[in-house]
Formats: sequence, C-alpha cells, structure tokens
Amino acid sequence: MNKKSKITIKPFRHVQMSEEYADKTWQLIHRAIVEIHKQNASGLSFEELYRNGYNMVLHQYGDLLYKGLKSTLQTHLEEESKKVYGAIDENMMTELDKAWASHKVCMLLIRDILTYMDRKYVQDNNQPTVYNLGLIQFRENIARNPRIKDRLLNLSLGMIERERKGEPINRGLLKSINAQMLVDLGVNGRSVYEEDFEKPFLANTSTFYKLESDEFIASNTCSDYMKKAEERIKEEMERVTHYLDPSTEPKLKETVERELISTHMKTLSEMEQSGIISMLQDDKVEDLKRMYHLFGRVAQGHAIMCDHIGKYVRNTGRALIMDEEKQKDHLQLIQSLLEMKDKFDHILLAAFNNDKMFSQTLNQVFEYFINLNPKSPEFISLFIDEKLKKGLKGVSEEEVDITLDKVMMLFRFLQEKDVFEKYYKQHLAKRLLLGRSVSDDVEQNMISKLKAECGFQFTSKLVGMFTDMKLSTDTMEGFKNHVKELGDSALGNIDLNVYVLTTGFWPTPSTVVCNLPAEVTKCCELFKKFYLSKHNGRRLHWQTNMGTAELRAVFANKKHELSVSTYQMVILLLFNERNEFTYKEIHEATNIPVNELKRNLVALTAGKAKILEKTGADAKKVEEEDVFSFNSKFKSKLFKIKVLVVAQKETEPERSETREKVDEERRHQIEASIVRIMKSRKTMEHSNLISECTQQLSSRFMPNPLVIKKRIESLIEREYLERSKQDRKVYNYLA
Amino acid sequence: RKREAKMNKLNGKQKDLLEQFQGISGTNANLGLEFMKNSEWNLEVALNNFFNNSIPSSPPSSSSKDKVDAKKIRELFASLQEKDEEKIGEEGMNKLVSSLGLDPDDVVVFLLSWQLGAKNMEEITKEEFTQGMTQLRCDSFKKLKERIPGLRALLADSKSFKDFYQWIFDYSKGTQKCLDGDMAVELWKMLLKDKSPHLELWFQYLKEEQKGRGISKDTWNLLLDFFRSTNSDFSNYDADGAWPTMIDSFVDFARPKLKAK
Repeated sequence: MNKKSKITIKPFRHVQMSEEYADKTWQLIHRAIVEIHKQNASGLSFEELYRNGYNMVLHQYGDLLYKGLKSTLQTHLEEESKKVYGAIDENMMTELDKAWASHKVCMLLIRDILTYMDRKYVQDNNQPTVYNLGLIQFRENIARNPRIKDRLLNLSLGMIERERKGEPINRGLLKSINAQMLVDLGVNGRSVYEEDFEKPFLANTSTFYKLESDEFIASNTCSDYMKKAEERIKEEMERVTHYLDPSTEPKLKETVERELISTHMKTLSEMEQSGIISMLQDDKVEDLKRMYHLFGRVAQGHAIMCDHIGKYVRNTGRALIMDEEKQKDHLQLIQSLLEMKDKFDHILLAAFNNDKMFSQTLNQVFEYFINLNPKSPEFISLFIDEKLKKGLKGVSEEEVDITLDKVMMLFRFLQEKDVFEKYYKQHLAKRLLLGRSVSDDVEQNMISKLKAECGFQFTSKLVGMFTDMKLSTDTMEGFKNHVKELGDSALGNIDLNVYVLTTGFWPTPSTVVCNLPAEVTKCCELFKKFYLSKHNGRRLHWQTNMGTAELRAVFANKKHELSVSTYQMVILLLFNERNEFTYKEIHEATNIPVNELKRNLVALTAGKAKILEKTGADAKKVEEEDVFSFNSKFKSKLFKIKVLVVAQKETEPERSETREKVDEERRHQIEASIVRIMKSRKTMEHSNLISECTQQLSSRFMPNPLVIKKRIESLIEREYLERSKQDRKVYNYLA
Repeated sequence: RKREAKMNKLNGKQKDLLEQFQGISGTNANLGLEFMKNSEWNLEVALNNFFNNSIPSSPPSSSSKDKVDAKKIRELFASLQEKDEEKIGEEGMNKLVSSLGLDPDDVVVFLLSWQLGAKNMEEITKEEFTQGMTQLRCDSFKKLKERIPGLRALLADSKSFKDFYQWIFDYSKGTQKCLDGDMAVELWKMLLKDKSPHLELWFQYLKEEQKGRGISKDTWNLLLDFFRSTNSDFSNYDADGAWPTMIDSFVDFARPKLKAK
C-alpha cells in the first residue's frame, strides 16, 4: 500500500517563445510573402501562415513581424519601381497599372494572413493596418518615386490634351491610375489625388482653355463661340465620369466656366454684328436663350446681360419717344411702342423664360423712357380714343380688346396718371357728346380695365359721365312730351336735344357763352324752364363749346345736310342775312373765343367741306382782314356732310393750360394727403411725412418734395399744423 | 453774513440773472434769490411768478418803494391817451417815449410794449396799460425809467430774447397774415445786428429774389434758429432739416456768393 500522495495539478506554464524561434517563424512568413509577390501563392498553406503570424503576435513578437513586413514590402517595391520607370514613354503607365493591380492582389493575401496582427498589434501600437502599410509603401516607393512622379503626371496631362484635341486615348488606363490608384493612395483622404494630379490638372485645364478661347473669340461670332463653349463644358463634365474622381467635378466646372464664360462675357455681349444688341435687333431668340443659359452659370452673368439689354432698350425707347418727327403722328408712336413692348415680351418669354431679373430690367427701362415725354399720357389717351370710336374698320371686338389690354400695360408705366385722367375725360366727353363711341359696352369694358388698375376713385367720375348720358335720355323723353302738350310750334322748326352734365364729372366747364341765334335761344329757354321745374335749386349753364347741330343748307345745285359744331352753326346762320362777312364782323356777332373761332372757320373753308370761301393767301390761317362768303357753288356726292372738328392733339397754349390745372389739382391733393396723414398720426417728423405723402400719392403722380414742403408751410400758416417747440423738424396736428 | 454766504455760492451767470430780476421787479436780493431759485433760474418764469404773486414762501414785499398807486396809473394813462378813445395812439406813444428820454428807434420801446403786454403796434389799450404798469410795479415815468436797464438786460438772455423776437412779429404785422418785407428788414436790423455773419447777405437775397413778398411767421421764427445754429460757410446746414423753403432758397443763393469771395 502506497502512502497517501498528493496529486498537485500545476498550472499550465506559458511557453515562452525564444528569439530564435521567433526569427525562424518570421523567415517562414517572409518567404511566403516573397512567393506571393512572385505570383506563386498556390503552394502556400494559409492555415499554417496564419498560425505563425498569430503566435508571433501572441508571444510579443509583433514588432519583429511588423518591421519585417515593412522591409519586405519595401524591398519588393523598390524592385518593382525599376520595372516601372524602366519602361519607355507611355508604357510606363501600363507598367505602373500592372504593378498596382498586382500589388493590390498581393496585399489582400498578405493582409489575410496577418489578420491577427492587424487586429491586435496594429491597434495597440497605433500603426497603419497591413493594407494601408502596403499603400504607403507603394506610394513612397513607386507613385512618388522621383523618377516616376512627374513623368506620370506629364503623361496623364498629355493624354488629356490629346483627347481635347480630338484624338482617342486609353481612358481606362487614366481612370485606373488617377481616379483609383491615386485616390486609394491617399489612405484616409484624397490628398494624394489632389496634390499629385488634380491641382496640376486644373491649372493645365485653365491654361488650355484660356488659349483656346482667346483664339476662338478673335475670329468667330458670339453665337458660334457660345456653341463651342457649350460643347466644351459638356465634354469636360463627361471627362469626369470617364476618368476623374467625382470630387473634381465642381472644381473643373468652375475652372472651365471661368475661362470660357466669365473672362469673355463682356467681349461677347459687346460684339458688333453678333453681340447682344444685334441679337435683340434681329430677334435672335435661340442665341439669346443660349446666352441666358450659358451666362447663367457664372456670377454676374445675368447681371451683365441685363445691363446691356437695359441700355439698348433705354436708348431705343428714348429715341422713339423723343423723336420730333415721330411725335407728329402720335397714333403711330403709340403703335410703335406697343410693337416694341410685344417684341420684348416675346423675347422675355422665349429666351429668358420670364426670369425675374430680366423682366424687372425691362419694366424699369420702359417706365423710364415712357415718362421722358410729358405728352405720353395725352398720346395714350388719344390712342385709346381712336380704338373706341365708331368706324374702326376691319378689326373685331376681340382684337380691339386685346389691343386695349396691351395699352393698359403701357398705362401702368405712366407716372403722371392724373394727367392721363384729365385727357381721358376730355376725349371721353367728346366721344359721348358727339355720339362717336363704338358702343357703351366697349366703353364700360375700358372703364373696368382702368378700375382694376387704379381703383374705384379713379373711375368714379367717368362712370358719372355715363349716368348723366342715361339721365339725359330720360329727361329728353319728358321734354318731348312736354313740347307736344305745348303744341307743335313751341320749338319752331328746331329739333332740340339736350344733354345735362353734372359739373364735377365732366371736364372743366367753359364760362364763355357765344351769341346764339334767337330761334335757338327760344328753344333753350323752354328747355331750361322745363328742367328747372323738375329740379328745383339747380343751375344750368349752356356749354356752347361742346354742342353739335344739323343744318339743312341750300346750295346752287342741291340741298345738303351739314353736321357741324354749335360754333359752326352760329357762324353759318349769319349767312342767312347776307352773303359776305369780315372776320371782325363774325367775331363781334358771335362772340366766339378767338382761337376756337379761327379753328372752326378753317374747318369750314379749308377742309373737304368748303362751305365758306375766304380771302387771304394762306388757306389754313385766318387773318383779321379775311372776308368770308357763302360758297353756293359747293358740290359733294354725299347728302350728309360732316364738318366737325375731331378730338385733336392740343395746341401748346392749351397744353400748358391743362398742365396748370393739373398742377393746381396736385397741390390740393398733396395738402389733403398731408392733412389726412397728420390727422391720424397727430405728430410726425419731417422726412417721414414727406415720404409717407409721396407714397400715398404715387399711384396718381410723383409729387415733387419741394412742392410738398411748400404745402406744409402753407398749412402751418393756415394753422392746420404747427412745428413742435422742442424740435423744429417735428410737426403737430392742430385740431 | 448769511446773505453774503448765499451770494458767494452763485456763479457768474446766476449773479447776472439775479441782477436783471431785481432791476425789473424792484425787489431786494434775498427775495430775488427766492424767486430765481424757485423758477430754477429761469428769468421769465421768475418774473411771471413775482408779478402773479405765486410764490408761497415769502410774504409779498411791503416796502413803500414797491407799492403801486392805481390812481396814479389812471392819471398817467389819461395824460397819454387819445382824445376820445380809451387807448394810447401814436401821439401818446411819442409822448411816452420822449418822457422816458428814449430814442423812438430804441429797442427798449419795443421791450416796454412787450412787457406791458401790448398786442399790436397801433395802440396800447387801457387794460394793457393798467395791467402792464401794475405788473411792472410802476406808477410814474420815473419808476418806469428805472426799469429800463432791467429791460435791456433781458436781451442778453437767450430764451427771453427768443420770446421777445417771436412776439415782435405779431405785434408789428398788423391785420395781415404776413409781415411786410420792408418792415421785417428794419426790425431785423434792430434786433439781429451783429448776431450773424449772414445778415447782410440775407437782406441782399430778400431784395433780389423776394421783392414784394411778405415774411411768414414760420420763416420769421425759424430765421433766428437758423442764424444761431448755422456756421459761416453753411457747412453744417441740413437740406432735409425742415427749414422753411425761403431759407432753403437763401442758402442756395448765398453759397455761390460765398465761394466767389
């Protein structure tokens, strides 16, 4: 029997690896790597090699392994580099590509083998991973090898240049080396790609296009240049997909656009014969569209275009509207303006797609030159008058409506809308009173357009005019019945028709009454009595400057019916007494104001209807000494003869009178505005008051700040306002 | 010693104002000091308070020097008034002026009318005279004469001067809204002599560009501010400063003329 023996279990003793053993293990791995580099990996045992690597790291020989790996790689790559730079010309790139491909394959294998080191040793010692170590080695020994680096770059750039010049090249090679290899070699970023390729590439691109564009622009039209530029840009963008890293795209775009567009924008726009001005002149919509898209790519591109377009339209517009000759035919002038607006609206839409910057430019410029001519409001009103008159041949109502809508666009640009209103009233009055309107509907349509644009206040008086016309019709019915009751001879042989106009709505009434013949006066008195019996407390003033008359006249050959103005009627009826009158006698007998008298006499003697004859050399001018006689020899095919004086442009004296009236009304408007503002704010600082007042009135006209100031002073004097005692710049409202 | 101590604490300006107050009101320095302190050294307010007896602390002065005889005032008025009307007209004014030993062109004449509360230069009503003389504490020409230095002193105080200057417009303009241009020039010559380098140029401007035009109250009032605030080459003139248009156009007129010099 044995003694009780203790069985002790000893802990497993960690077997230390000896240095010798480590060395040996490393040699095994080293040889394996060499084989891998020789493309001879098939004979190797992955499991064994992995275990070796594992053991080395486990036994604290990671250092040895890592350093060994490093030096093995280095040695190999140094050899490889000789192959690469030994190749002639472009073959170097092919060799490089081969070396790179094979390097990647080998590194993958090596990495797999040394996975444990990757995980443990690399982490603990903050070293590049196996694969990255390979990249770094490749980079230092090959890609940035002084014998390779610059040559590589030049080769790449050379290929690109050849392709730009039209030659086919090996894109795959470029892609593999530049877009892939260099990118990878940056390890954790693109720095290698950017420094070794991208930067010089962009500089090279810049130089290339600088040269090309300078040459091209010197001998080609703007349109052709733009087409070429578009092509080049497209090409460069495709280049990115073919063999550049995507991150280069924006930088390349910027470079190319700068060289092709920004540098030459100004020159292109200003090219004679083919620049912006000629494009606008000749409606070259396609070219303008191309330019819009092309220039839109760069900063200030559109701004430059707008600048040139603005200048051109401004000058053209100004020349048109200030041309003295053209102003003589005002209808044609407005027509030309409409055509100009049409033209640019079309360009705006077709070429610029109603881009805001462009439409603003055009609007500003139109507003500028339309208001250069103080007669614009009058001309526009006359143009509308023409469209609203009867007898407009060959145009449908729809077409007229479209034209009027276009005229409204011009109206919108007017700064002096109150002047327009004055003329519109005058012209409308003539249309209504002389029965000239096409139709009430068309007139109302126009009024609603104005109302939509300017609001109810603008058109309320105009509407009042129509009301008056309607009421007058009713009144006339009543009057006719009244006359019937009185008996047939109450009016004599005269058929009287009266329009009663409310003073505030119609243009300023005339205070002058000419001498009416007795028979006419009798009828007028009868009507007046009738009307005032119905409307107590009103006052009627006959407006002899606005009426019309129809006369039956007996000439030598036959009878005619004459449509004349009241003034003309008064003149002609004189000739019932005798055949001849001097100008002076006519003036005294009729008491018609001088310039009206002269105008109407000219209409009777120098027009198509030469009812009177006059002495004196100039047919169109009436002198004091002229003698007038009834022209019994007058002949005409028509029975009814019209001698009316139509709505005309004003003469200069009339124009300044109108202008004075407008100025006076403006003074009242300004004061009313100031009082309105001060009443609600109670106290206000000077410059704020001025700008608020300007703003309030801007829909009708642009008040002059000096006039506003004078009105403020007048209101202070009349004690509507006072200056604040603390600050003379502040005004207080005095209730 | 107490009074001296008080007096020594005053600065130069305050001493001036106090002197003026005493000159007009005829009070002693102590009372004067009370009033001035109460009104925060505003001369006009102090005077107003004094004449309205509105300071509660001090008893009304009872020295015989300050007593005013209403009867004497009535007699004085009677000696100056127009024959059948209860007002002092041109004759009466001339008599008053010469009795005081004054030049009719002296600004003190206006100052007197101002302090009497007269409303227009055609006449002084009985009420105005009676009230005014009472407030000035005068019932004789002698006493009135004593007030004169005090009145003159008012011109030195910038606020009083401004009030006086603005009052003179309403006083002188008569029944119209505006002051006649020539009269305005005469008044300006009297009031603003040496107060601005632009005065002569202003007169020239009026003569050349505003001939026959009257001067509005607004323009009159602001001219003083304009002269007080604008420097000799107009460099601090603010065109958006809400100045009356006549002054704006004066600046436009004057600037090239200055440059030419």
